[in-house]
Amino acid sequence: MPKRHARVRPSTAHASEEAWTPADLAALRAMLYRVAAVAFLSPEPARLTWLRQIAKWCQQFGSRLALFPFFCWWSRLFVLLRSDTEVTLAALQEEYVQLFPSRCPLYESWYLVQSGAQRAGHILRLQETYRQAGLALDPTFGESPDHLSVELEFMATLCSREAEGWQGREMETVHYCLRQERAFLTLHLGQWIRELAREIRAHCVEPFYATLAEASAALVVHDQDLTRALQHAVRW
Amino acid sequence: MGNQVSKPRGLILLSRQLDPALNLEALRSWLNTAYGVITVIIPQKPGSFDSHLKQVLRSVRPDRLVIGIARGEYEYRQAQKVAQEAGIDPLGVALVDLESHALRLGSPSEAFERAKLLLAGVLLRLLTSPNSQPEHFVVDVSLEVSRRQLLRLAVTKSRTVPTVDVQRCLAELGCRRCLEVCPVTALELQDGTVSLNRTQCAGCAVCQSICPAQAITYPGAGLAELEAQLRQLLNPKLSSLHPRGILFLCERGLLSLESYVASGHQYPLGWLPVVVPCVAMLGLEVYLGTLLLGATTVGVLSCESACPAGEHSIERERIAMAQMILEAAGAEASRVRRLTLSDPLGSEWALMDTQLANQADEPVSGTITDRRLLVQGFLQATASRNAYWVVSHPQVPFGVVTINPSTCTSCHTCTAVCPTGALQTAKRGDKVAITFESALCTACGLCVARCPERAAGALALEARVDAGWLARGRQTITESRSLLCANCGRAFASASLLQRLAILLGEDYKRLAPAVTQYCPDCRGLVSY
Repeated sequence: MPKRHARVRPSTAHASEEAWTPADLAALRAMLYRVAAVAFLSPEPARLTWLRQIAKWCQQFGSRLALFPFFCWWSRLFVLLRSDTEVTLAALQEEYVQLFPSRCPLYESWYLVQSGAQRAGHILRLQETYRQAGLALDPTFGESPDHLSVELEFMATLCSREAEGWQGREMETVHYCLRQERAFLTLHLGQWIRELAREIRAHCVEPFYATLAEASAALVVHDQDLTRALQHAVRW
Repeated sequence: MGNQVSKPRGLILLSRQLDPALNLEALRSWLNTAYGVITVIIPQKPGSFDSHLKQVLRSVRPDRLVIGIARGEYEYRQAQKVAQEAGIDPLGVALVDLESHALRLGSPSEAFERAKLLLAGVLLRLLTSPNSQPEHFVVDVSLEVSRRQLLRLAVTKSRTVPTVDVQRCLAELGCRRCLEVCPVTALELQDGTVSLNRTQCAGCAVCQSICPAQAITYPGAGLAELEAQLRQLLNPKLSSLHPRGILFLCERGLLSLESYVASGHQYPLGWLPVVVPCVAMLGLEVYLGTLLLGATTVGVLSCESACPAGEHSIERERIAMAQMILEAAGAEASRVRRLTLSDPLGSEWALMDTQLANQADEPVSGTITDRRLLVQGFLQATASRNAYWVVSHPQVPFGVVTINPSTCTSCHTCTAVCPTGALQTAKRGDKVAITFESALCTACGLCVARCPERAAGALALEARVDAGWLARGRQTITESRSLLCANCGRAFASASLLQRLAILLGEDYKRLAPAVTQYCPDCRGLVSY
């Protein structure tokens, strides 16, 4: 999943206006989840270049994005990404190795599951969740289904589908996606991403990963409310 | 990065539109000298406030932002949006309408004095406030999206709500204070911990004010933040303005007051507004502490029927309680009063001329946040009027604990559960005592609820403010000899426990002794063989 980067992007047609169409909003959320998914993967030149491009591209949405209370955390992340001096590939690679394999593992089961046997069951349930959405993890990806990037990419995929649903006025799809998103955030990402952010903040040296974790956590918290509110707002 | 926490940097922006009525250059110079804060004057060009603000934020990159404006010149939401775009905490922004709250109320020199205090107060409050967390915001979707019409969503509204720290929460021990007081029943018990229904929460922060464990945090409205603002507003060294009263009001109350001033009315110059999420969140500490910090009068402007929480009963009760205590202590009850906008220039809004405590120097830090300092200050300020007084009321946030030595077994469960340290265990030679300090007691009742001998009336708590108890400080309320194990020498029980056992077991007790009275549970088995 994480190899698929940008698909539906929010329209720039109304960049100066304050209101969002539901499709644009879903596309924006998909993009932010995808940015976070890629940023939590091992730093590589192509990935960093893509993240920098997205950060620059998002500048045009600045005033619209700032309507959301989660945006101050993302704004800090984009400022870092736009700077060639504050975020360098070498520094990110060094920090990534220092932080993630041992100090702050990026696996859900590390935070939510106590024993090895339970971990296997937990991962199977996650795979089943992906399968029900018609997805399976690319075997060449080489990461566990409970890796943070996989979970964020799953959310990105659901949000992209939601955006397509809004665009095509397929309300059943929209409703299904909102339900899946909310359930996944509540049962999975929302359960551990705050703790991960705290761990990263406590151990990091450079500001990038702490800012990224804060931004991701802010998006997850925000989206739990948003998906609930949207579910109630959509009239059937 | 690690665990380093850097001190937030503040920035003050002043609108040129306030010039020349307000001497902006002098104001900037004063703020810079007094607080070392960067102050920028925004040039007056129609429609350019946004672009200037963005430009300044890009170059200064502050953590907190205070904007002094003329009425209607700029909107808070817009300021917050621009600040967010620059990565500033959404709650780290404040807008002060200096036209309504300074210029229109007095002469240019008086307006200047007020402007100094208002800006300094808000700045220090923001600088004291910790960063907000994503959980502090709830998104509201204001439009209904129908199947036929895919309307544009105005998902721009977000509300501020508190967070509950489950690690500190005492629900497991039986505390239910926040649940009982929440006016919209947004707090509920789930799996033994308190959980907040964020959608339902009205954001009044009453729960924060009543939590004995300080497990509930409402960003920007904690006692420390309020005290930081009040200390600036009431600092006699900062301004010659006298007398000074503090006018507590919520956002809705502030809007009403500003509309009132805009319609050509005035309110007395000495009232300095302090905005809180809801005036019902103000407790006794705030009312009395504000007077001790140097306010001659404390006013509470209620938003009346516009209140979404509808919490006027709590607000009225707390004001009445403060008045009862002032009266009992021999001070004027009207130092704390509820105000309405019917006639701000009438007697209802008249400020008292003298302070409760003579405040010649900078107000003492901790007067509101530290209950010991609050109590000491209040007793000193009122000692000459009435040294001994008592106010009993079920809702008063002070208590007096008494112990019945004939039924208390000195198990010390009460000291273990006391969240504020009012009840403590003290070891003195071969005796162990339970000590109590009334100033720290919030009358939460956990000690009574957890006492194993509560049915026998071993421990009693009365919610009351008692000057005698407060003045005495920490007192020993019961003491019992420790029994040492005849085998290992370890203290294993209190004499009062054995006394209680003897009473409860009657004749059977004699059979158990001496094993029970001489040996600890570990050695009891060993010595019997």
